[in-house]
Amino acid sequence: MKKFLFLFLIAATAFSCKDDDQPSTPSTTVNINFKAVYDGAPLVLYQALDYPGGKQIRFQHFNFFVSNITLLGDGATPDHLLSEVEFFDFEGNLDIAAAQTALSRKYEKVPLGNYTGVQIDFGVPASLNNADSGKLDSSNPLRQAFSSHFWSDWGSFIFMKSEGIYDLNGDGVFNQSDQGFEHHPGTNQVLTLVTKLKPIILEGGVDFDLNLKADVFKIYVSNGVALDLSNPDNKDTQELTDMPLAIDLMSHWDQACSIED
Amino acid sequence: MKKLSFSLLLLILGFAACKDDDGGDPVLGEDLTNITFDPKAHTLTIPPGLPSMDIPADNPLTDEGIELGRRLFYDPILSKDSTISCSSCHQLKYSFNDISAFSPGVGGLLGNRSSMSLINIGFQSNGMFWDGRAHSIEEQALGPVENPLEMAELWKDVEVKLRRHPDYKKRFRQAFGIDNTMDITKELAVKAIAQFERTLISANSRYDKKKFQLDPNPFLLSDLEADGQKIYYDDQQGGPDDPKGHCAHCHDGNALFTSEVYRNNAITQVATLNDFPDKGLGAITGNLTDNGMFKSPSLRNVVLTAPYMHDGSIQTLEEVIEHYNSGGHYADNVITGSITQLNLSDYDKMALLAFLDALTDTTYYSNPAFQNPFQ
Ligand code: HEC
Ligand code: HEC
Repeated sequence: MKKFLFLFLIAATAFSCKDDDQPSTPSTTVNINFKAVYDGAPLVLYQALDYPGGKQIRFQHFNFFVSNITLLGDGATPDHLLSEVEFFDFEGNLDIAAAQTALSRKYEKVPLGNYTGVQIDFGVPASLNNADSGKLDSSNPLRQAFSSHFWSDWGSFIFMKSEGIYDLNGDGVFNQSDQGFEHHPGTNQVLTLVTKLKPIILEGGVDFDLNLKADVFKIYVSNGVALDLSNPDNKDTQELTDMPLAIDLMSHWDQACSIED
Repeated sequence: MKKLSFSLLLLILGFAACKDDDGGDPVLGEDLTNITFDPKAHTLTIPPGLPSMDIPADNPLTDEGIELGRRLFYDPILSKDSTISCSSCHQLKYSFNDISAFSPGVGGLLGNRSSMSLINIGFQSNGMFWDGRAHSIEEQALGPVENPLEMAELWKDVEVKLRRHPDYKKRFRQAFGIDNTMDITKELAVKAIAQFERTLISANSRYDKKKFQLDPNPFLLSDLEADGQKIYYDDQQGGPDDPKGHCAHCHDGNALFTSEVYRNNAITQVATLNDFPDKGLGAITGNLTDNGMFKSPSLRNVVLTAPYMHDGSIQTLEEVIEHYNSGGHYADNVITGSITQLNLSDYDKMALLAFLDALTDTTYYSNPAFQNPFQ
């Protein structure tokens, strides 16, 4: 009797895998590969980098949420939502080899067709930007980064963390007399929609790599003007009085994010 | 993934169901099938503000499993000479912590790190221990028994003791449906302990009652405490000159009061990143820049758990606040955005201290369900 039960369980197991084989529209796999760079070169944390004005800067953390990642259709091909929300954390960029390796996410069953580009929200969509996202399943990026990124005083996620130190006195060494910075923009006001147009032709049989670059330099330097990191008012974005800075930094995602060839 | 683990579970159950075919030999253990196996599923009530808890599919909570876990947690049977239990270093009255810098294990030998509070640990998802080296509660619970500075016992000997124990063999059967005493293993023991640990939920401090409107009393937090809260969260409602403590950057996580991050909070003065006496996270990852980084612990019930830090080096909360106010000892991996001179006034320091006190949950350490079942 026990043995039969066992066979039944095996059969049940086999059936439970069935739904993978359902017929569907022709599709392929799209990989999003994100690299973090600084002024075009791979971003290596803890490495001294040149900042406009002649002084140096060093990053310790760089990470962000992106949401509603959508391939834009050309009319004949409808838009396709790749992902509701993702979290990219470049904490592993401790040497050049690691920094040259992109963080990847794989999306299967993306309908074939001609897409004209990709649309990405930098940040967490308003509908998910609340403490209830902490109750999501542990596979959800919002749950995974809940402890570190939900700022309960705002009731919002921190959308991006860019942390490091600026060589304030320009002596070429970093220490306590320099300016630490912690830019943590968040709240629905700073959600930033970015659209990147570039033909994305999905054909059968081959995976498509969508290679994206996040240039943190361009978050700080816009139209040739660099954020003045020597100004203590610019060292963090945690208070409501810092909202203009938070909005400004996030608005630069449009130029900081690009599709690589 | 879900499907796979479910199928595996079914397979395992299938195998387990076949087990009794080869049982019955007294040398190989004792048949337990005459004891009723009818476990009652236990549903946790998760208070507002806390995130979801990941309960492994192969270790669902049951009343029987939790009770077995509680007993194992309090029972020195897990140690070499029956002197040390988990509760020796994790005492309920101190929020499952203890009040020595280094806790004595078997033979009075001292470990090299301070004990940690066990509070809301079932919600944690970024590693356990000061250095994050354990990835689940089950994995963590395997450690102390064979640690020579803690319980100094071999799991195989614990298994023998448990198999011979009239009460435990019954309870293992009732919790896990094993057919034979030989099926009592360390894996099941740590599953039971983990079940108990997942019930250790705290979210009933005065702060919670106010924040999550559990109690309409408008006087739950004093003005001093409310000011401390603003400093904790860098909430400058009075304008840009208001004091900031930056505490929530590492001790928030909404109702968890830990952001579950590994950081160097500048308590140790070192010449270079190579010189930390305890490398913490760096010893696990091998990354130089992780040296001297430790888990930012939950500050719930923190007034009960002196001394502080992984090495128990700070005696009081006043001194902890003084430390942060000073900016501590610079090293290249300190986040100087937060760990920097705070310029707090005496009033600000008092306020911050008062806020930490408002995180105390008296219903936690007096909860009968968490107490020693042998007393
Ligand atoms: C001799 C003292 C001692 C005993 C006995 C002991 N512990 Fe601990 N416990 C510690 C110390 C010290 C740490 C921190 C160690 C480290 O980080 O390396 C710790 C850490 C932990 C943690 C990690 C908490 C967190 O937030 O990361 C858990 C869980 C835990 N112990 C559970 C147990 C259990 C279960 C037992 C019994 C099986 C036990 N401990 C026995 C001293 C002890
Ligand atoms: C950059 C992250 C960070 C910030 C900011 C921070 N802490 Fe910590 N905190 C830590 C870490 C990491 C530890 C553990 C360090 C260790 O043991 O080596 C810790 C430990 C503590 C402890 C000891 C807890 C225990 O169980 O031993 C207290 C109390 C504490 N912090 C309070 C505060 C307060 C109050 C503030 C704000 C003034 C603050 N922290 C700001 C990271 C931080």
